[in-house]
Amino acid sequence: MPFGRIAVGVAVPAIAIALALALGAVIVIVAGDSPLDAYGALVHGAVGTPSNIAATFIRSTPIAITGLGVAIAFKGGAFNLGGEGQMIAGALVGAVAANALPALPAPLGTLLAIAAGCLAGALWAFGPALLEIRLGVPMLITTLLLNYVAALLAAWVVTYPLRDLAGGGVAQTAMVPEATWLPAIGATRLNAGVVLLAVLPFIAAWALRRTVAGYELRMVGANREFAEYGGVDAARSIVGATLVSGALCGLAGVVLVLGVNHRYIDGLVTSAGFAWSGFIAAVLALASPILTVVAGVFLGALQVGGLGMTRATSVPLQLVDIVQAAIILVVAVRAGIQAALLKRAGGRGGA
Amino acid sequence: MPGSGAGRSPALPSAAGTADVAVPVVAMRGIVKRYGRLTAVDDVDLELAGSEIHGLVGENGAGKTTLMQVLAGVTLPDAGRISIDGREVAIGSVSAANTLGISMVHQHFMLVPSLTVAENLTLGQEPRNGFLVDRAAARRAVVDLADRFGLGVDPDARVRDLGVGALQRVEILRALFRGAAILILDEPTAILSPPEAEGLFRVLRELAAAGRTIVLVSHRLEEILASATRITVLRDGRVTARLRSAETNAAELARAMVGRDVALALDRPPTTTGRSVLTLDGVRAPGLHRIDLEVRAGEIVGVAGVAGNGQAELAEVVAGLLRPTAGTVRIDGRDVTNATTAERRAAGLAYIPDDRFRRGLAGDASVRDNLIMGRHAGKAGARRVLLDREGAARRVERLVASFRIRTADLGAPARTLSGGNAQRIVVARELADPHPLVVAAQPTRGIDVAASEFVRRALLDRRATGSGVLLISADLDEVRSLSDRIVVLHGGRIVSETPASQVDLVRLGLDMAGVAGGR
Repeated sequence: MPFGRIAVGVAVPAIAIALALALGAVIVIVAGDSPLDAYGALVHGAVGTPSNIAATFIRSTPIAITGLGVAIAFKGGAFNLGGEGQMIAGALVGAVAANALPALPAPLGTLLAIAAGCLAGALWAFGPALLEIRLGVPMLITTLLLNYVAALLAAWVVTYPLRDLAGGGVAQTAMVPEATWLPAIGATRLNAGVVLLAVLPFIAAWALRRTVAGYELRMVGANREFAEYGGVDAARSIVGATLVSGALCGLAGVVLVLGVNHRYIDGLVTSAGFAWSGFIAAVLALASPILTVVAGVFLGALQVGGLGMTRATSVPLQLVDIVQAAIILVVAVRAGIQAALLKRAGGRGGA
Repeated sequence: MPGSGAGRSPALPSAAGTADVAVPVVAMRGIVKRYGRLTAVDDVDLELAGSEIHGLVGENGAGKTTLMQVLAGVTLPDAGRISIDGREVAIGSVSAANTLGISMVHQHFMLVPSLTVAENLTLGQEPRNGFLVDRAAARRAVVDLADRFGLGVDPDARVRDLGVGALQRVEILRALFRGAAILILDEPTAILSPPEAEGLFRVLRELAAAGRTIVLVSHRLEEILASATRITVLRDGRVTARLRSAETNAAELARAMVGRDVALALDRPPTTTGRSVLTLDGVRAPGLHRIDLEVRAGEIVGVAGVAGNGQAELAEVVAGLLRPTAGTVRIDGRDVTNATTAERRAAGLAYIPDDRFRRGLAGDASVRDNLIMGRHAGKAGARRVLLDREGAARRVERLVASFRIRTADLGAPARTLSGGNAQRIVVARELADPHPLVVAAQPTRGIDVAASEFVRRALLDRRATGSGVLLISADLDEVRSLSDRIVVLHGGRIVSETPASQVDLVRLGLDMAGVAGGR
């Protein structure tokens, strides 16, 4: 009964979101405001005007791409909590590469800078993957710790050796040449990076379903002993997935630099919490590539809409954090929800 | 063992059936239990007398466990009535069942590993000495009970240090300690070695002689025939036969279970053995000492032994999951001592691992994904970028049809299949192609009669078509009925090797027990 299983796959995150929004509504009521007004303002802030929609997608792009990276590692049973560090590596190296490159015909400089950013993200993830495979050091911990290393190292780089001297007191790199910017889409503030949201999840889903490497990765994730017994080199599969995961996180960073800020600024990645939102998206979507991107756009909309809500009502922005936290809580108990749903689906359909 | 089931139990009505039992201890009438569209138990009547061991047999999915869960209060029936000693009762929970004296001994033990046996048994009902737990009294009570029924258990042993046989005795003791008059044992011998199982049946006979009612759920026909007085057979949720063990035999039981004749003894036509497909030369590994073994094309070499004497290690050394510290391993002539599993598969290895859900299958992956493993990149050993979808689809279709894997949806997780069907996936994947070497570890453990017969036939087919088979099984009957040669492992050493035609059971038993003989 495939339809039932797909329905359950969508129903779990939907229920998580609904419960979280309901909890948010209760808090708004307790705080003395109208949840209808608050959520109305939130929806307007997220998608009410073309400009708001553009803002939502600008915010969502790095979230969804890091989410996709995390999801791919998840598929192989690997926990990449280092999306933030890999994104910083991609953003900084992408900015440095764009500045260092000689003037090249239009898309070439951009593509090279993007490649540099992806490579940087992948390299930042490579060490932890190797440590786990060779020495059994949990990647969960090493990737997480390397986030701090990346953030502080990048801060040092833009504070001392590569500081933009024209930028006054701000710790940032010089602006990258305009030729390397991601082109804008029409008259909006959107840049070409958003196209990735329409392309990457389908490529990822296709690769997981149709390629030998994707099949092997899924089997390693489902049961590593089974995969190894079947002749799959599980270590190679996990390292490969982690490299792709790091490269995607690096891509998110370099797309942010080339598309939005046009330079690396200290705190660019960490202050907005892009990578963590991406992580939530991947968990919420149970690592399905397409649903991860949908969830990433939803979280971006929630965050952008929250800003609008704060401007229009007296409800503080923290409500959005509460709703996000509640989503995680509900997802954490998803096993129970899922079991209950499958039982019902089984009861109806005769599983 | 067969034939010893009669004339042992106390006075019972003269004929089988239900009509002439005066007041049965348990009477279940018209029990129905549905799960969705599936009717697991369909209008079943069951009567249990005092002082009897009642055998409940059927294939996996026949409804025997569900029926017993209804009696034990684990599951609520959709229809039907239950009477205990002639009084109608409602059994709405496990504790309600316990109050009525009904207790189910579970497959997975529910004991506290860090506590002693005595502490586990008295947990929650500790004898008190004023304010303190009276440890001496608790210990005494346990020892008394254990002695009464010959359940040899050290009351001071920590549960975590006990083997499975002892754990099971503790579970039974605990049920008795709580005053159980009706004991349900669900597949109790699945995890026991033959001597442990023999000990269990002795205890069960003692209990029955002391007036308790025992329900023995099993699909091992020999043990049911040897220990039960009456037998109820279920198939597809319905009772297909009520028999007295003294008046029936394994063939009749198997027919009632499966609905057709089952060949319990398999045809093993002579073959001519060919080249060597597996050679172990002085192989040492953790758990193995200097193993020299050869399997030739066209023969089945059976490995017998008490669990834990190197069988698992032997299979893993051949499959490449355990690296030998010395010696060489050759598959079909190629030295694979240091080869990966993938390289061994390319050299001609097929492997049915002993634990299907740990290694043989990915439970959460689809039936389809499970069936193509190893061949997902085309021919074994090939390295392609894209999955061969058409080839995979054809292969899956062929395997499902020829190995009769029953599933409505190839995209469903393998975990949702019954044990026998799940094992068919493993067997289909490993035996569909003519690999020169087949290693089959416990290939029929925990699966029903029909599926076991199927798996054994598949192994014989491989033998007939020129594969060499290394069969490792705890089921001595299986080893004897399939093998051309039998080797016995004890303490990680091969202690004997005998052509099947010259096997002497007593000799085999002594070898398995590690009693040094004249070899």
